[in-house]
Amino acid sequence: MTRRVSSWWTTRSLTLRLTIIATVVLATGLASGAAALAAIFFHNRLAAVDANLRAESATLTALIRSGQLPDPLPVPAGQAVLAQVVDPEGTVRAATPAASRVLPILPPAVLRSEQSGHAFTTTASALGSAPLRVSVTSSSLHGVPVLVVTAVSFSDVRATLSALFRTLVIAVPLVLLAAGIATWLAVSSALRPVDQLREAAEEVAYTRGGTAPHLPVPRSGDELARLAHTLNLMLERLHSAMEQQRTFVADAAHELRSPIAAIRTQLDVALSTPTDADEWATVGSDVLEDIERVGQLADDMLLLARLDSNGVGCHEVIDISVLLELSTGPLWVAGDAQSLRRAFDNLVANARRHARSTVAVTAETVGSDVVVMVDDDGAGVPAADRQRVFERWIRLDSARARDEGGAGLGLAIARSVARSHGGDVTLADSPLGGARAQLRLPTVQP
Amino acid sequence: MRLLVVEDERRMAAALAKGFTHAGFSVDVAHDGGLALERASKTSYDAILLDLMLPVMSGYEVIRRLRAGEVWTPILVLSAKDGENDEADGLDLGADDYLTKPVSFVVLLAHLRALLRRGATAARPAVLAVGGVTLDPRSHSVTRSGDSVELTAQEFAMLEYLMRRQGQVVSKAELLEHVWGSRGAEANAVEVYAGYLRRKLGRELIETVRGVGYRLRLP
Repeated sequence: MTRRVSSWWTTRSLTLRLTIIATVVLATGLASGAAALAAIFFHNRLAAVDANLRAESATLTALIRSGQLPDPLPVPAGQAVLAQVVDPEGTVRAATPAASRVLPILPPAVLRSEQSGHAFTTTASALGSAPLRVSVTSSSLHGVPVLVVTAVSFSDVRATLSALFRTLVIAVPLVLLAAGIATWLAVSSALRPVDQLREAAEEVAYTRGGTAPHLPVPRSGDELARLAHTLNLMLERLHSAMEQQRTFVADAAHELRSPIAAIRTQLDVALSTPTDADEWATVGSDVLEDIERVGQLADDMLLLARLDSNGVGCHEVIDISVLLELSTGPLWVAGDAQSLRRAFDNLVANARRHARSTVAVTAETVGSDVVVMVDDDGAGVPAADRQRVFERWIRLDSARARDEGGAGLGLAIARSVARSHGGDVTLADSPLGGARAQLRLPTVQP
Repeated sequence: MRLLVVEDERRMAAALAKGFTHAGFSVDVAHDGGLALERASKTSYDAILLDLMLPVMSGYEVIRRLRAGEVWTPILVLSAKDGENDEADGLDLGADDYLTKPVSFVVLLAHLRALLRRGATAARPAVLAVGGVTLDPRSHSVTRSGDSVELTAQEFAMLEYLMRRQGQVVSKAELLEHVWGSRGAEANAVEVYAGYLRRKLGRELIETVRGVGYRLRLP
């Protein structure tokens, strides 16, 4: 049962739930407020009535004690207090102008039992069934016992209370209804941007590709606007990452297809034309070269994917000068020797490809970094292209055929390796006249 | 039949050359776009087999420049680029066929033979031009003396048909059949549209041949 209620509750709309909560809280507040109001009102009235009764009793008792019994009995101006002085038998000896001079206010049975002087409420009076607040005080006049009876009608207090109650019974539901509607409207207007965001997000979820998805940012500067802004940033990041991934895969497919096409055509032609043993040997070694290209590409892409997802695996302390067979003295860095060697090899291979005659590899400690420099005496790289060459599948030398130029992943891999070691690779001018690739790695204590 | 093979991967190019030679072609090979353009412009080949990703000049540029230089040699594109836009761009620039690598050599040969059967040395420009008026079926645009002219779809279709038959007389019945087709039209629709085209492109462009039909006047 509880579970059903809770599942009903959690499946309602936020607007409905907030409206219900607000209305229930308001209803509880109004009800306890009304109850407190009634209680305070009742007790104040009661205290005021009792004070009047006590004052009148005291006045009359004092008169009687001094041996006087004026008739009619005095009453303070403007007060609706009735008073009688009666015998213990119930005969009225004196009364205030408004009280009966014949009939005692209280029946003799009550008179006998209630002589404490404390106020009490009764409906068993001579004045009918209307509630009456009375007090009975015993005294004696010239040695004869008499009773001072004072009374105030209590029916106006009751009437006021019930009028108050009737008003509240009508007003509270009306107030609750109005508050509920107002809450509903306020909450749904406050949540409208959420719904718009949801609709836009749904559209984003069902549209494929194209431009970067975008959610409408509410004009208000509130939490929702900030949320939409943040979501948009996230969408942009995701979109560009996806776009990058897609380009990479498309380029990879294209790069793999070229050597595969070459292999297929070479075998196709060799099989469909007369081919002697020597020619077959040539075909075999040519095909092998293309297969090596495919294998190299697969290795490169795998390495890049690994670097992208979790960087290099093991971190051992390596002496770069040993790795590069340099005579500089030890240069310590932390990292994975195999992938670092791969990065250096790529830089050197790239320099070889562009050098006219000389490639020089040097290393030194600069500040807290170990810097390895690979210089060549080729044409160099224009400053405008020095970032672009690190993109994947980039070949700047358009004059070079693909099977000589490499797939354009070498520098991208070198940079990925360096960055996963907390360093970087940059290009600069070389004192040899060509390009200088600088691989920078943070140095460590052995 | 003389064939130009444009392919930057030397092993692939050598294999293709060997295969085509064995199939009876006389084969020249170019390893980059610049050389391909130079050879194709100077020598009258019967067909060109063209890669797209080439050093020096892309295959697209080679096609564009050959067609701009009014070289109408049939071109078969053989590329590893398999995007639908890659293929559409190649064909729209003026290539005649498009195959994606890798392809069976038998299929490649068959495509080449089909291309040669169509045997086209007549002008087959991707953008039609007659006396200052050009029409590009790819971008669906028309210009007159370099200024762009807005044509309705029907006007465009009629102009394209006339331009493809430039210098020839085209009968009203033929225009109705080829421009309006099975949708049909009132018999005077041809006259009405000829009027529209004259208003937009100049009176003298479309000549009425009494009792026969219309003819685009050559400059």
